[in-house]
Amino acid sequence: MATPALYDYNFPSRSAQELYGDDILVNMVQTDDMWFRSGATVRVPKAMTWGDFYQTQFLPYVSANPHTKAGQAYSFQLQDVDFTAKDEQTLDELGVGHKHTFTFANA
Amino acid sequence: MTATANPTGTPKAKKLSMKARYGALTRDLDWAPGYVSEEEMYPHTSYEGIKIHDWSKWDDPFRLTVDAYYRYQAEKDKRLYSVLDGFAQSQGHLTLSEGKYLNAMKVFLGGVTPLEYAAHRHFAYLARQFNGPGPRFAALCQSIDEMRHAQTEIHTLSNYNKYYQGMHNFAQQHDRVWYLSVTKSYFDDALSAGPFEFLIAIGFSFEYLLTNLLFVPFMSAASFNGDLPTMTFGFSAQSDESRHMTLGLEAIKFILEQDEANVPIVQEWVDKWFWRGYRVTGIVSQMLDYQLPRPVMSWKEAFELYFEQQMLGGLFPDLALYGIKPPKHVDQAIWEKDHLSHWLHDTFYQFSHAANFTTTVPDTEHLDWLAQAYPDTFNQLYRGKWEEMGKLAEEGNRFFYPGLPQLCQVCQVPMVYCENGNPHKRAVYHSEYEGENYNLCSEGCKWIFDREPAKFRQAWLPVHQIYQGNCGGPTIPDVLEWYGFQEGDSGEYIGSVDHKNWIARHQMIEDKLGQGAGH
Repeated sequence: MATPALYDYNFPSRSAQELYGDDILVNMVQTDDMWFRSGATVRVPKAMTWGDFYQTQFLPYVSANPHTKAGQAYSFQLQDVDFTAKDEQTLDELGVGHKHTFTFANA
Repeated sequence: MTATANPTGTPKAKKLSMKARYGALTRDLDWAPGYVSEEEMYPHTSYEGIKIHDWSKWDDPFRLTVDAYYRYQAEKDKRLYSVLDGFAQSQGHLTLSEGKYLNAMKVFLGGVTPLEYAAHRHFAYLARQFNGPGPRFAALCQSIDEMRHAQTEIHTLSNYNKYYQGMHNFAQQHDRVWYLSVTKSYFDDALSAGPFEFLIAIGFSFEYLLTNLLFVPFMSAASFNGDLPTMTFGFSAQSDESRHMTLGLEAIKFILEQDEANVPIVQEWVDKWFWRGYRVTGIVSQMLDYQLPRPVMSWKEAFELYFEQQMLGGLFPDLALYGIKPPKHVDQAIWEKDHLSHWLHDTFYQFSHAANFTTTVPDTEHLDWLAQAYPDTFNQLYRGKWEEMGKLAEEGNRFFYPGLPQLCQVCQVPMVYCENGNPHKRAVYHSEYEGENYNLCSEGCKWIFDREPAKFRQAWLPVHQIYQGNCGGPTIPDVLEWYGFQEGDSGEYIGSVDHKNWIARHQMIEDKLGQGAGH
């Protein structure tokens, strides 16, 4: 439904990808453990590889959960669809879009 | 010579009845425009699609005149300010249940008081824009009420600001601090709607449907915890709230009675604004269950009494006569009553390093109270985590969240909720609009977004703005400086500035007056 207004109602998103240059926002949500009460949002380059994302964003985050065991493997979903990746693939190549959400659980 | 009461010889004017006097002082000042059309004079009351055929049918129920209104309010102010003076002079803050009680007031001051001022401004706008003199005058009275509420709340809490952290720049914090964007964006949504939607949003959904959930437990909590000034301002405001509730009910009935075509529009507004308001009152849920050293009633109990019994059981059967059904997604709110406060205070605990209040793990007595208040869920789902977080804190590893939270595009609460009926499954919803993805916390917020995506894509989400570099800098300390925080405003309560001062002040009293006098 259109927002009722007395004029042409058309304003841009305040979180549009263009506002982040070559970067995107990505969300991470753990589904099998409630220690983190909320999912997290990070800002990363679209050209970041999955390997870098895993090492610099995902692991530091999940390791802050005291339930996390060293060497734990995880399964991922991106926007509710099962997700697998090779380390050298970029987020862009993997179809990770701006404000997309990774949900993850112990494999 | 015979004395007469009227030496000019003109007939003595007959004293008007109360009703006639009210009419003369309010309605008789109305006029039909001659130089412009009614549409030109009141341009904002037609574009929402609401049809009004006879504005004179809207009668404001209290029939106050301006002089009576001010006399009545001045009496209430006198009583309140004498309580404030007495409390301040006797160092009454030392008789609170505990220093950490004031965390609830910090949330109130940053989250609710600025909304009173926003309501003041917008009801003044309605007092200009409505076509009928009845609703214009009622809106004028409510506008003045709201200004008075903002002032009395600020004056009441200003005494605490002399001794405790976290209250010193509440207005700046309301505009900037992450969790306060929940209340701010809620009201901004209403302010940027048309006049009729605002009336259903604030006048009906907030002031009628949900206000008792906010104010009544809040006042009782203040009383239970030794906060006489807050209790007094609460009671002082509550008599106005009764008038606002009546106005809200009058408004919805008037609109529904004017034209059948108004019913589906109002129903969608009731659906939207129930959910928006409910998400905001979640903050009250954690206050009731966790922020009061002496708890007064649980959120579950308050929700059952003030919402399920009074609204679903009392109001909505009446509104069914007009074709209005209970709000969409209400079943989820009912299910969440056993979980909501635990999710939200967990969030406050994990993020209190970036908030204007402090938190700590509840002691065993408090955990036992929660277990008794939530016999089906607390020990089963939530107690273990509090005990685990308490153990970490004792070991010197107090847990704070390691990053920035994912926020809901509509309610702006971090994504902390679970699927309706399943406390083990996190809720994450998505919508796409003009090629951009948006994340939502619930079916309710998704429904609201999908209904008006052009509006909600403009949301100023604190986390997204921090990442754009609009909030003082890229690091948490940069952002906290931009919030205007000072030492002791945030973080863990045990060992905080407020906690240390509380102990030191009571120690001084004991040193002077003897053991036990300080408590």
